[in-house]
Amino acid sequence: MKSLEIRNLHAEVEGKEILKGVDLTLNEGEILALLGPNGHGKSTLLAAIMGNPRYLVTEGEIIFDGKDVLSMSVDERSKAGLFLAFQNPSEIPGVVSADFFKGAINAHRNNKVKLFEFYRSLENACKEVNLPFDMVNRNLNDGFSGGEKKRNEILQMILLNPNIAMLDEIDSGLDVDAINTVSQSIVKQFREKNTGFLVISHYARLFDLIHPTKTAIMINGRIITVGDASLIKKIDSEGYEWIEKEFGISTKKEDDNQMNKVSIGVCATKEVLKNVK
Amino acid sequence: MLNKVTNYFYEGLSEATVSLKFEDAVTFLVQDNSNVTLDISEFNKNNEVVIVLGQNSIFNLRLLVLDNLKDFNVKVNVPRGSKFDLVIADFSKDVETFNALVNLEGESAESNIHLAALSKENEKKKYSLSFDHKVGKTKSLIDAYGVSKDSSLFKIDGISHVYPNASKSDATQKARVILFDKESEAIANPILKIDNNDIKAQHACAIGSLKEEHLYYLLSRGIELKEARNLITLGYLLPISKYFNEKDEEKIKEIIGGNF
Repeated sequence: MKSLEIRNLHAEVEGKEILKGVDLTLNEGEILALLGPNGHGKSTLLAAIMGNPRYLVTEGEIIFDGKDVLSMSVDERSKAGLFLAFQNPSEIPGVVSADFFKGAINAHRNNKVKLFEFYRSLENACKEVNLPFDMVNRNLNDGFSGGEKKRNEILQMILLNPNIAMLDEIDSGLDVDAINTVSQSIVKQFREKNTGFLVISHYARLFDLIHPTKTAIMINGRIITVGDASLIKKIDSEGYEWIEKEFGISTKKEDDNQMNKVSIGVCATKEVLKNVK
Repeated sequence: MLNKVTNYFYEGLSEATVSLKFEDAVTFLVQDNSNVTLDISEFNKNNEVVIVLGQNSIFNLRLLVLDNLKDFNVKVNVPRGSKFDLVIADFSKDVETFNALVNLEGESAESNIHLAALSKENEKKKYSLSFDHKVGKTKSLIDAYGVSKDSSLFKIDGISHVYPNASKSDATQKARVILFDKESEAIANPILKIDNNDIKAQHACAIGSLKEEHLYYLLSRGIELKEARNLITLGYLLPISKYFNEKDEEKIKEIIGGNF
């Protein structure tokens, strides 16, 4: 069983620290729901794991299947078995989807995929996520609706069959039918391929359909607790305020707190400089 | 100094392939109500081409430039109800100047120029594409894609002149150029000379290196950096192949594939 271990991970973007010591473990065959208020670092964590060049990891480790992920290039991370379904997938004019899918599949194999096998798996994947097959002749995500882009991400997950799939708000922009379709694909992948999932969503509906095996809550760039799926229900009904009482921490963004200190008559620069070592 | 001028006449529906290799200058004369597609892939170093279209005619000129080509000058008169399309796939080593001047001289005349060009090593490729909208309801389009590699230069001047009498005309220019390497250079000058208020005109120009977010997306699916760069670049050049016949389409794909 392969596992993804994140230890004391710190990461920043444009000099601003977002992740402040994340510890988290995810195994194959688990579905981990990652919850937390907006802007507290959930998407940054996924981007840092996948190697987005905008994010700089300043401290900590990411180990996957005993290997150091941080020393791998982005494509090597994918080939090692990690997959990220993007919140906002790029539109790439001129790159034909079918060529891209074939290139991606071949990157994960020693022998190039045979044409018949490629089209058969592509056709099946399109059916599964309810995308028309002629979509493969269109440019990658170019002119796709929000829902089509999200289903296209799941289609790629099916084609690449990763050990760990990270889904960043895969349900945003999807209608009810599309959420059901995507959920069914996630559950199928989980049951049949034993893929581990790290799923960010703000809606309990998706989690009701995919049944996470555990839940982690991220506040201000740290995982403050890991529990079972009951945490999702609690947050869905009560929000995040109970966390302040139970864990004795603020659920406001630390940057917001810093700005709260600034009011008329206060030197904002001085307040900011207080935090600069 | 031109030594020889050759005239070609076309009438009705026809497809032809012409070599400019042994001619200093050519004139293509197209009768009214004709529909002509012409392929040229053999050129002189210096070429002078004049095209005279009849009314309500369509003329598709497709240039696949593979050899050395120093200068190419084409001048076209497009009369009432006629359409002239010029498609240029330029993978030659040496195009110093390419000048196209299209006179839209009859009402509802239309012309589109599609260009895809690769410049590499120390090559300097310069294109000047001009439309003169002389009367009303005329329409023009420049749709140009360039890839500049190594320390080469890709330069395009798009000039759309809408004359005072050319009401309800439409002039559009689009140019997108990828700078593949640090030493690569690209210049795009979209020039719109507008002498009439009742027209539509637009230009869009984008020059830049490959987008980091696009590369990251492809890399995140396991595609290696070199292949990801190639895939995006091919996307700039390959679409031109769809305008050509099957044989030339394959040739273009082969050439592009060999260059990346």
